[in-house]
Amino acid sequence: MVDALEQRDLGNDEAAYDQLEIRCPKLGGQVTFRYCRHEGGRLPCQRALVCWQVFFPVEAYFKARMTDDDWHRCFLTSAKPRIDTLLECIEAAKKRVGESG
Amino acid sequence: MERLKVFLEESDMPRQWYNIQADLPTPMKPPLHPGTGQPIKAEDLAPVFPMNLIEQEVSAQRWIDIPEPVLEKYFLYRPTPLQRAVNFEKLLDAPVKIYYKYEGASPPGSHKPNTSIPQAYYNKAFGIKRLATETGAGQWGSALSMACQMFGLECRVYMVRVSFDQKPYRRLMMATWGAECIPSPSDRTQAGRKILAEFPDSPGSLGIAISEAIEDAVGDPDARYSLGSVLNHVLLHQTIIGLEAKKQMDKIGIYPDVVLGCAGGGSNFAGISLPYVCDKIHGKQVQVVAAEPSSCPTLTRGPFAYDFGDTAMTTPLLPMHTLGHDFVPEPIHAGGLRYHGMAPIVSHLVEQKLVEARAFDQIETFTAGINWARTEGVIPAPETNHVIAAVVNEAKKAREEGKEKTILFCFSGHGLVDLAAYDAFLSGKLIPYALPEEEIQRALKSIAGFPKP
Repeated sequence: MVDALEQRDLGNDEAAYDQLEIRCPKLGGQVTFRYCRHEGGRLPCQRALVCWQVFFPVEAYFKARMTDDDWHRCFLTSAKPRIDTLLECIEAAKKRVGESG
Repeated sequence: MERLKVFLEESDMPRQWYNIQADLPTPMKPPLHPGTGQPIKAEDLAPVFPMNLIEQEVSAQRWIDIPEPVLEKYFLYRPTPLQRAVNFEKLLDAPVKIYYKYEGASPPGSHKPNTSIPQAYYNKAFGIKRLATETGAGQWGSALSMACQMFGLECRVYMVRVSFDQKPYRRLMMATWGAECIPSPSDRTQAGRKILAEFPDSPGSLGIAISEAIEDAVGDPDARYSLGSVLNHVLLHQTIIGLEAKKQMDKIGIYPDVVLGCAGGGSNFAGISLPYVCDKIHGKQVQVVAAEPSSCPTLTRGPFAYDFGDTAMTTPLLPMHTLGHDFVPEPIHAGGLRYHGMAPIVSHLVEQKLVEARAFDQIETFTAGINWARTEGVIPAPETNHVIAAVVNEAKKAREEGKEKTILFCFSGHGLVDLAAYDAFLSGKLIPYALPEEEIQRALKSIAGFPKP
């Protein structure tokens, strides 16, 4: 039986974080940490802590680089249910299409 | 000799989908429109879905007939086989019989056509000419492309650019089935153009791709939008999986003790489990488990201790492998199917304690998937690995309890178009990196006084 692999030390190589790879449960494909840092545009993906926690101390990583406001907005605000997102997208799209039409 | 496969004839395939809304002991609260705060009305969804699907979305009718043209397309790969995993059972060395419903048998290799086919059909019947959708890595996009081709619809798929660049095979599948696959953000929509103006090298995101696909549909009266998970009608269509499984298990005179599925958006999990949840509601003894992705690292590193479930120390002490309740913020510890992408029906069933959720990290899931491939042959889709990890977990429990169990799970798809994920695991890219000792000590200090199980 294959065993889980041993842990390795990342060291202090800052750029190495960006090259780490993970399987994104939202996309269903491989992404690098660099992608997760910017998935929300200016902010990281809301799932970044959940996904990366196993690989390195991601909480400390972001806390050192984000303002308190951004931290709260990104990680401590409940994500909207998908149906809400869908309805908001419909309203926003109607507005955009209406304005351009 | 043990029977390894149970087949159904086409003539025995169920002719109706099962709608659990009719049997819920506590009805689901109607979703509210985030703009108005009022229950969602049909006209709120009408710009993006045809009315025949909206009717299914809100239906409380227990059984809904599968239209004949949909059955004809289902017959291309359905009924799918129910298989027994005897080699994996031997590896696990536990008193379990493991049966799985093999949904990798469909042309795109997953359970997704179970809903893409009826969605294409209903749109065609409503007079729609084109469907727009988003796709992450391409599993849904390819399933919808095939279905649109079957019913003579055009199909436009907005694929998140990072996946578009990395996943040529999925987009080639879409092209082969006649769909137009566009990297998102794109210049086709105002949403896409706005992102590109600000971030020209944007790798995209699922949120951006959804905005583009919806804008595309809203802007064209002949087009509608299609979604492959979460919604009630999607889960309804997927119940064909569990309904077939019940017939197949009846054929060999067995009933499962545990039914499992992996739960990302909840569609294949709902597909295998909802017919069994119905039995459970009506008094049958069956455990239903949703395996979800998580990266909680605690099984391999933290000590097993009683810990609070949250940072405010308001929840009861729970025995868990823990690094301490303050180690990550509350939403992370909350876990357990609170991921916003989960289907409301599945979340409701978890709240009603009809379904239990378990989380498995990527190391556990790929380890389970590789062990499966080395015993049973088929390389599972990475999502499917979650449920295989849950099966391993269930088998270990059975061994520890000395209890015989019959396990049924949904093998949602094969992983032949997802080998890059296996490459990442096998080449060591998914290795967990060590936490600094001071981090671990700080976390452990917070649970120093807690009782040990």
